[in-house]
Amino acid sequence: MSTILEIKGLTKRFGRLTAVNQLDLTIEKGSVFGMLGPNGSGKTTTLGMLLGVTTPTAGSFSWFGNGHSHEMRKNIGAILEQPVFYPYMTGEQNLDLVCQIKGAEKTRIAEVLETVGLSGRGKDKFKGYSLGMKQRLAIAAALINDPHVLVLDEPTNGLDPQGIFDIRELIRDIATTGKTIILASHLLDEVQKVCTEFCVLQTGNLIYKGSVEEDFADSTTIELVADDLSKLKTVLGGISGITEVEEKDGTILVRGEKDLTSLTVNKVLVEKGIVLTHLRTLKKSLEEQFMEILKES
Amino acid sequence: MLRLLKIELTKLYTNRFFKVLGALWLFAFISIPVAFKYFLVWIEKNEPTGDNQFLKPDQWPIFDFVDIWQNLAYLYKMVTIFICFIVLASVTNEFDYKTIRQNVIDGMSRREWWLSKITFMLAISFLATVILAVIGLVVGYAYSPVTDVEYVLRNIEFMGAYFLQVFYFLMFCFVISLLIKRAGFAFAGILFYIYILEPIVTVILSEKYELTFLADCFPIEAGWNLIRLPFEKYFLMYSQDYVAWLDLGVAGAWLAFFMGMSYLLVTRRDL
Repeated sequence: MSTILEIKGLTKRFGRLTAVNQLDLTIEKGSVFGMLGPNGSGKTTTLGMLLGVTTPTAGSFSWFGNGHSHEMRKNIGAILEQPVFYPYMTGEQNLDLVCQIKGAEKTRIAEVLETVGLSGRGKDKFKGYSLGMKQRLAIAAALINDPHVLVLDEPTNGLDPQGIFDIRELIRDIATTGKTIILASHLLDEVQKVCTEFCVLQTGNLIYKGSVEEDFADSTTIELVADDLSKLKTVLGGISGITEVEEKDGTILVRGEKDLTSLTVNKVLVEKGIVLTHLRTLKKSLEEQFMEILKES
Repeated sequence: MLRLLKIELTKLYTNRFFKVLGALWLFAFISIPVAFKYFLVWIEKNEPTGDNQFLKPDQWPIFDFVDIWQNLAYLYKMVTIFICFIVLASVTNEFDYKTIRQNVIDGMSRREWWLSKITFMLAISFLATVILAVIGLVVGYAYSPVTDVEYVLRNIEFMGAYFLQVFYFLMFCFVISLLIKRAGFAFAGILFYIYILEPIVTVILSEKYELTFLADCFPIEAGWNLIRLPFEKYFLMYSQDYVAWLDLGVAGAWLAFFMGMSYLLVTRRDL
């Protein structure tokens, strides 16, 4: 794997406020990288610096192992915050302008409109578009030069559930074509559903970085209820692979390593003569994990 | 350069407001000589000036060669305002829509963005000068008693001054728009400065304190002074019938300032 983006010590201060503080990050080719953080955590400021609209106070970054210049941005498809187009132009005219700026072929206009499902509306003015259509046009514009990297900042912000679903499908489809995607979002399950890797930013600091699969999908929580809760607790404490036993509202919550399954736990309990009235495996909630990360920092 | 001009034109020709302004500008541009001639005839009819033929406005050699270039260039300063609005609206729009930011994200450098606006302003100044030259030739050959090439081409330097003047005022609007960023405030600010603030200050300076040169150094005054009022000579008074180096120098200095200032404003600020 080669490196698409390398960030070293990137810092942005607005007066006394430090929006981004000493950020170090490396993003590999082909990954779908999630930038997670509450509003105001420095996601957009970071992306703004990476895309040449905000001047860093300190630090450096390098796209494609080659520094950064406006020529490189022609190979990056990016949307910051909300879709930005000339409202008086039609969808096609707007894409035509992006073509001229990026030096893309005009034949791409029809292709990308097709990709995002806007073929029938290309001749309509941008100001008449619904928010979902604007968001699609923004993705179309980002795709127009067949870029190596897509940078999407809150791409589902303000959309209705159907719109959110469609945009996520679209992002996943694009990801399967091997493009690197950098997705900033304050929505936890969006990152979980779409991304392969992620980092967490809080008030400008990088507080966590890891793989979505390892950190969330495979971690296990098992919910158990039995008549004799105290006996259940004691027995559970002796099972290897279990890292935490917690009693909560008449239920025992067990957290364990990745390979812990309800089957192995139940087997041991049966041997010890404990009969369960309730057994359920929970995927560890990302939200819970996220809050933990935020609390720990 | 051509690519940048094309990008700027794409932004403009798709907008009805800009098309209407452009059409108004062209209409005003072409109708001025006719309108002015009728205006002079109308003055003579309503305010008869007696037998002294030097005082008869409709007898003035306004559109005769040699005089025509300065007269036309001077008259046409009033229509520049239409294209000034185009520049003002196109620049403030980019901030309003945040499209300047998206242009940069999409792969334009800030320098290219600045150059695309500058190229457009140069192109439209050039277009204005060419049209004016054509109008000058047509009107001149129609009215002028002398049509020798030697006379036709004398004082043609006023076409150069006119080009510079149009570009100068577009640049002035460009800088103000970049500074203020909001169409309404920029528009009000420019009108207030051009028609109220600077006239009052310069009149006080030149009339009360007799600091005429200092007054001439104010930006709008310096722009107007590229082409001095020519009509006083028809009242048997003196008027400056050439482009003075000092006027060029003052305007040139301001123009250089506008260029540098606008470049810094586009390239240095966070978008």
